[in-house]
Amino acid sequence: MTRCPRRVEVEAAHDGRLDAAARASIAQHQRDCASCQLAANALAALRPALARLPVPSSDALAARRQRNRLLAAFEASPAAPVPSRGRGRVGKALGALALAGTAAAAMIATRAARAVDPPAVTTSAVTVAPTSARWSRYDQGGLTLVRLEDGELELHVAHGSAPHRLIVILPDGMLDDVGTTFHVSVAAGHTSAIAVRDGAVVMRRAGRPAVFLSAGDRWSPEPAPPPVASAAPSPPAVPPPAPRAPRVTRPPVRNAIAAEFRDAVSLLEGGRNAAAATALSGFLARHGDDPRAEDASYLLVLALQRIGDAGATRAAAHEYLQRYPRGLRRAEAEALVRGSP
Amino acid sequence: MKALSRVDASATKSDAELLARVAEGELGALGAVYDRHCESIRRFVARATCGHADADDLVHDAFLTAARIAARFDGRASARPWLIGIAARLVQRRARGLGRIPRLLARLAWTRPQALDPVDALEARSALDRMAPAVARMTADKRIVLLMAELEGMTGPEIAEALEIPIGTVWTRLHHARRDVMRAIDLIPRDEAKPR
Repeated sequence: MTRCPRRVEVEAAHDGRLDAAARASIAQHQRDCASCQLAANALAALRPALARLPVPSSDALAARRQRNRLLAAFEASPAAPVPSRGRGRVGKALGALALAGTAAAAMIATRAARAVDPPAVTTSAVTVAPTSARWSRYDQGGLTLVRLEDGELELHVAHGSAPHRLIVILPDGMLDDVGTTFHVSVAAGHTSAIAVRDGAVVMRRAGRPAVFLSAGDRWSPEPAPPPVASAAPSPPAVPPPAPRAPRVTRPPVRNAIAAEFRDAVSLLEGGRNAAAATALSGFLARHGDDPRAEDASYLLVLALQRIGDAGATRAAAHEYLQRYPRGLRRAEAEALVRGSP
Repeated sequence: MKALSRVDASATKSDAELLARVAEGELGALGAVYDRHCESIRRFVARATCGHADADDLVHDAFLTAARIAARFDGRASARPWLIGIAARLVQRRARGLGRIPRLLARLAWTRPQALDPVDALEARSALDRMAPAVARMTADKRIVLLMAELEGMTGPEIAEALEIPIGTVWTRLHHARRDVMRAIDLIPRDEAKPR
């Protein structure tokens, strides 16, 4: 069957995007067009099909526990002044970036910025060493928010037994720490450089893809477009260069390690679980300090699970928790160690 | 200490009234909002994360975030689309922060391990077993829009507002997500010829 070019109108009608006349037109066409009838039937069948997607069951006790946890967290939270609805676009964008820390971000925004060149500030988890900066800081529980308005900061997050998260709010984005030592500079309202010495960070800027930076990586922004000449310019002899992506320079040795990790992941994706388990074990043995080691450690658990070796799966999950007590897949690993699916 | 008051009277109050009280710090009102919407938010998050184990944490974060920004609720009849929007953005944020392999993990989470049992092998051919991996394979951004439109019954403009994206982006993501699932479960043939 050939796909009817008017099929897009069937979907538009389904979504309520057509006016009455257009709706009547496509309805009449649909009566004589097998392709459009097929599309309409498929759209009607999609919702009941999707409703069959599995949802883990929740018992009343777990729901009650969740409710109590929420109310306790709300009660313990500071009575932060709640911003009104009329926020500006920039405020909204920042709110979207740091949604989980909305209230904390609001609090940090209301604090007066610290004086230039404050002394180094240390808590049990996060050390901030300003070189020459205008910045402020907010700590609550396992979260530290640092707002850098201008200048340079050197930050270090210590790996302790308790999980700790660091978010650096920049004028044009945010840095999400993954356990690390790094240096960040801001100039003229824009992030001008990031250098990661240990661990990894994720750089997020509104409207742009996130950039993952690991140890040894240096980031600098894309160059600004050349200034426009004021007088009537003659045609340029050489075409202007295409806009370039932000530069991330990586040590060459990392390419080989990255390829090794990619190969192991490909084995797992291809269903070659035993080979993947071997490759991932080898990767962990050779590159235990690599930023990808946590992913590799968890993927090893999955590979063993898919082989069907329950004992080895549990042991690998236990090993993951030992190595990464604040790991991103902690909940899944703990469930596997407990023996629940 | 936040006030605990008249929880039993909350059942008759609208979402807007309850959230206004939450904004004033009333604990009982938050409990009532949670009781009213927790199951639908939990279902949405579980599907949006492909059944990942931290879904409960995301539900918790969604309600806590909602409580903190309760004063911004626009007063519409039901807070559900607003809560779904908060949860959706947390799921997106989680997907971006999870590492370099979120889609692989999502795919594995909804893909059965080797089916050795013949009954399992037969079951594996069912539409559900072909649909779940197709949903898991797509990006979190597409999956979220699909679930918001098809299962949560939200309109395109509502989705655009909740996710702070252009309406055109909503329709594009929804079209591609639908096509992927329809092909996976043979609602439309894969080998269909394109129009000339």
